[in-house]
Amino acid sequence: MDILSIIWIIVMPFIGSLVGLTYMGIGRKIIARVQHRYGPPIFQNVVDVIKLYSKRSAITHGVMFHLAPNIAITGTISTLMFVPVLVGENAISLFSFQGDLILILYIMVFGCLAMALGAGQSGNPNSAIGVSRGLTQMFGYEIPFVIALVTLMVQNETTSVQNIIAAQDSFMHWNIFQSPFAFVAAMFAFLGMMGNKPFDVPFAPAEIASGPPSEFGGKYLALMQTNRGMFAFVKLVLYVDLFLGGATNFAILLVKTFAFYLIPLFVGIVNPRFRTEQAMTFFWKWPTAIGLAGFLLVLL
Amino acid sequence: MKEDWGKEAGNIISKWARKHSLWVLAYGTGCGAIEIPPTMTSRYDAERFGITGSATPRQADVLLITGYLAVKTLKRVIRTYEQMQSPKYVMGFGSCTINGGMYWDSYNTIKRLDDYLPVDIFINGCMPRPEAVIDGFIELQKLIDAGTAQGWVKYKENLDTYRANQKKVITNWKMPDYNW
Amino acid sequence: METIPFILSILFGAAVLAYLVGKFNYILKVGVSIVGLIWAGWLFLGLQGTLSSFTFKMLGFDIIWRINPLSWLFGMIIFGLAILTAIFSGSYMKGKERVDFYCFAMCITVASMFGIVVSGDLLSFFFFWEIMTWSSFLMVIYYRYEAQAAGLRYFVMSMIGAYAMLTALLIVYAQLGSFLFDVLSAGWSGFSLTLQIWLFVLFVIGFAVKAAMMPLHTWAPDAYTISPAPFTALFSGALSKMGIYGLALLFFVFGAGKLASSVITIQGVSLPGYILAWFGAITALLATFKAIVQDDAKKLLAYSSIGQLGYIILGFSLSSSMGVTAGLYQAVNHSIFKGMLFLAVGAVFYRTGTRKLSEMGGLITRMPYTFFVVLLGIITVAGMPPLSGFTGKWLIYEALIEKHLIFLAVVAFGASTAAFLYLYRIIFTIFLGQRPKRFDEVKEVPWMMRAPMLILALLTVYLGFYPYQLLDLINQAQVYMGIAPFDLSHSMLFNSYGNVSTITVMNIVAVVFFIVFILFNTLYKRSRKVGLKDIHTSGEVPGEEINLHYAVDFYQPFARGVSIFLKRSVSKIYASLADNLEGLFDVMRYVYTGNGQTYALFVVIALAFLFLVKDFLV
Ligand code: SF4
Repeated sequence: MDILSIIWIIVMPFIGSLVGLTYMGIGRKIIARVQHRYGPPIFQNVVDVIKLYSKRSAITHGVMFHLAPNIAITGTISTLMFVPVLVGENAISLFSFQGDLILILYIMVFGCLAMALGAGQSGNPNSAIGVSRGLTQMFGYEIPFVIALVTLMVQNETTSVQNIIAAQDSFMHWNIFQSPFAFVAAMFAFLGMMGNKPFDVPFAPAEIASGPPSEFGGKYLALMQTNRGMFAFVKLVLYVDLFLGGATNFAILLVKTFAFYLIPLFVGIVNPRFRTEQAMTFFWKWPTAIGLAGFLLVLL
Repeated sequence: MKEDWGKEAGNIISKWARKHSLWVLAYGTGCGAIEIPPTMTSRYDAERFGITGSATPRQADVLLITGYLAVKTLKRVIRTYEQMQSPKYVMGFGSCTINGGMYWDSYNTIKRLDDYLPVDIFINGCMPRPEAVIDGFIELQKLIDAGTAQGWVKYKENLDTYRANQKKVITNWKMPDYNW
Repeated sequence: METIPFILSILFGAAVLAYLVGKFNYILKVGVSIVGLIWAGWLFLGLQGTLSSFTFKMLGFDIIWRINPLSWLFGMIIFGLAILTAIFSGSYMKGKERVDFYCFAMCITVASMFGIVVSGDLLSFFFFWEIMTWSSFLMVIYYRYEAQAAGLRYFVMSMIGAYAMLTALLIVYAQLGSFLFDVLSAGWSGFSLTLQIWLFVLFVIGFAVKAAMMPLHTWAPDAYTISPAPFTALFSGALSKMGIYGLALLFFVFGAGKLASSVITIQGVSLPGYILAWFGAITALLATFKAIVQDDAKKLLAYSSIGQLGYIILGFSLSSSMGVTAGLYQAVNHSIFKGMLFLAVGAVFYRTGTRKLSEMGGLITRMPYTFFVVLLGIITVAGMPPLSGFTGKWLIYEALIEKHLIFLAVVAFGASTAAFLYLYRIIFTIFLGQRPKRFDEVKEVPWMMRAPMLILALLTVYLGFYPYQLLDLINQAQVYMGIAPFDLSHSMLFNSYGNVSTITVMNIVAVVFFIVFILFNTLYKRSRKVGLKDIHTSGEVPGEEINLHYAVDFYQPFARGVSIFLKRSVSKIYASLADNLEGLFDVMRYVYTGNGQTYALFVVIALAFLFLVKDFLV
């Protein structure tokens, strides 16, 4: 392992959270513009996080509460380590040769579980309700997501993300064109995964006081927000790797990830919120049907 | 010397960040609460100054008290304030919080919020228009920048005085200790 | 003396001795069984890698008891779990009634399970199988009256399995004139196709009852719930594995795998295997759904156990190198984590006296060790890296994707995601959230109960870091079963599709965690600890007597969403079948009136009938 890759390993989490938070800021700006507002500056989320880090006090409800943001960010950074960020000549692949898509799928949940445990220990019933809703919704979107991923893995005869990227060597070989059904199913799942408007019932601020994080404040919330930004970045990069053939430099990466970021954002602006069981069963109708149609294509 | 420099830089950054990111917990007590939605939404758009609503006191920076406080509500407001994480600021909104306003001789509202919680800034008016509210926020930002929005320190230092005042009006005082 | 009969006699001896001395002293009877188990386990450990066998003749039949890598692997599961649960019960059963009986049944169960894995012929296999059923039945009805219904159901289902197996066994004897496995495996391909299918189905029914495969699982939830907690761990961890062991024998030793070549294959999986795989996958999914809506902690785990066994069956029925590795690995792993979880729930029951999830809460500060064990347990069940569950999940998915079985893969993935729901529920409702006032004085369980749980917990960490030693053992078993061993390097899990380095994963997680931990805790001053009542409730201060724990109907929206699946239940189908049969027997009661004159009339009619038709008969 040479010095450059070690530097990237250290720097990548920071870049990831910065990019993720900035995307969220841009998202807020776009929402404001749709609503005929001026909107906050695009770095607003970064400022928010810095403010949270600068809070002087914090309370804890117990050991899991204290560790939860810590473990959550561990899970996200570990996921980031296994997702190839850039490919090609100046590839940034971190540890992605040592783990495949199945590992990424499972290690992604690690942080969420920690958050759920921390929320559980906060003793606030709203947090527990939020977690229960979140898990229910997760089970919903996981079905089309898994259908899409299995389609990709079977089609490419590999479970390694590196090889899936390598198979998409030219524009027309991108999986978005190669397996459009899988792409659509995965995109529906992405809406649920990002937790934007129609699927934000786990966090519904007006009903259950922002759900799982409702007891977290100060440094804990700061760590959680950093984690949120980084997690969004990881998911975006993973989708770009899977469907848009990865990126060869940072400019392309930013363009592609931002394109993906816009989709749930625009869907979210114009939609109200689903109820919990609707949010779950929604994914088992059209998204699953589309995914299964993709399956049949693979089988034939 | 070097350490001072680091502290100084940290101070500047945190001041700047605190100033530009105010998460408001609007405790909609009196009639003034009606002015909060227009302040936040399209017409006046407070979000452009980094002012957003927050759902719980743990996450909030500013406690916005919009109007008269019944004694019963005061207890909840104190509780909410004490659950917030410092540094935290209190905004009194409307003349009711300043001197009782049109409720000055009411039997169960408090007159001066200042006696019970360390108010950093008052907004005058009955009720203040959104422009005035935003003006108040900008004033608060200036205070933060100047380092004079020290209500939370004051509260910690004079906790006994505040407690005595609070207990004078709230008879069924059954609350956990203050944790900041 | 030969080792195998010696171990058997130690176990039976310990059982009898524990029962006899049980009249005198508590420590003595528990001590005898623990020492007996440890001694037997120690001797058994020494048999690794040997192929010792012991032959004798009984009633004119050849009997073989032998050790091979496969039976050694399962034997290790049995002994490991049995010793730990025996130690656990040493403390758990204190002050309970009929402990001598408990120790007796426990040792007999272990002995019979050991007998099953060493027997090399169908006769002794069936013999031990029946002893196992009986002795575990004794355990199920330990709490006499409340356990009646569960015990009866367990017994009836076991009988169905046993008769199916007995039929198959007699068919084999009639065909081959021998009970030996070797003869059977040589002679299997000589059977006609119909006979092969019949034998396959009968054996599968026999084994699947013990492995609680849907739709033969109806006994499991109640029997697991009602039996004493330490035994439940053994029940789910080791006893149900005997069904899996049976399936392994059926597929790879009896030669049912050869059935594959003679009938249609679907994507490289034989049709019977494919059907069985679907049964496994559906079991995994539906049992998981059921588990999510349970309110009884043990019942939840029981359904979870059924679901996990579904995974193992799924792995085995693929018959590929990866699939069988996955099945065996998951079998070992399941014993570890289910043992752990059942013991932990038992420990909670021991201290709180309830199994209802909706009644508990906030025990983390009172029982931190148990919490830690459950935490590791749920991470393992969920299959999250860096603990040992991930390797099992990885192997299964790779096996499915390798065979391009996409529908099965999706069902398996879905079941594993749904598992998060009940796993979170069990840890949240017991250990997190607000604590009811009556549990304020609860203490952590004694060390004698803590130690077995912690040993199992550390085992999952070790296997998560370094599963290769276990995979080595599995490979040896696979060589014995005649399957190509899984390709193994000692730093990576890999196949032609993908690879995972468990060591790297563990290292990354540990390093990142500690860096963040140190930064986070040194840059900030200590945060203030506040009570669980000090929460955001819109300014209201919840009083002492108010408990804001969200535990009742935890997944109500989920239950509403999947109500189609939950409405139907196999037990109800069986119940309606029983009702209909009862109607049939009601009709028959008119025949058997119990009146002598009526019977006399029947005899007369019959004679008259015979008299009339006698011309046709001769
Ligand atoms: S200041 Fe005026 S508007 Fe505001 S609460 Fe008092 S009376 Fe109502």
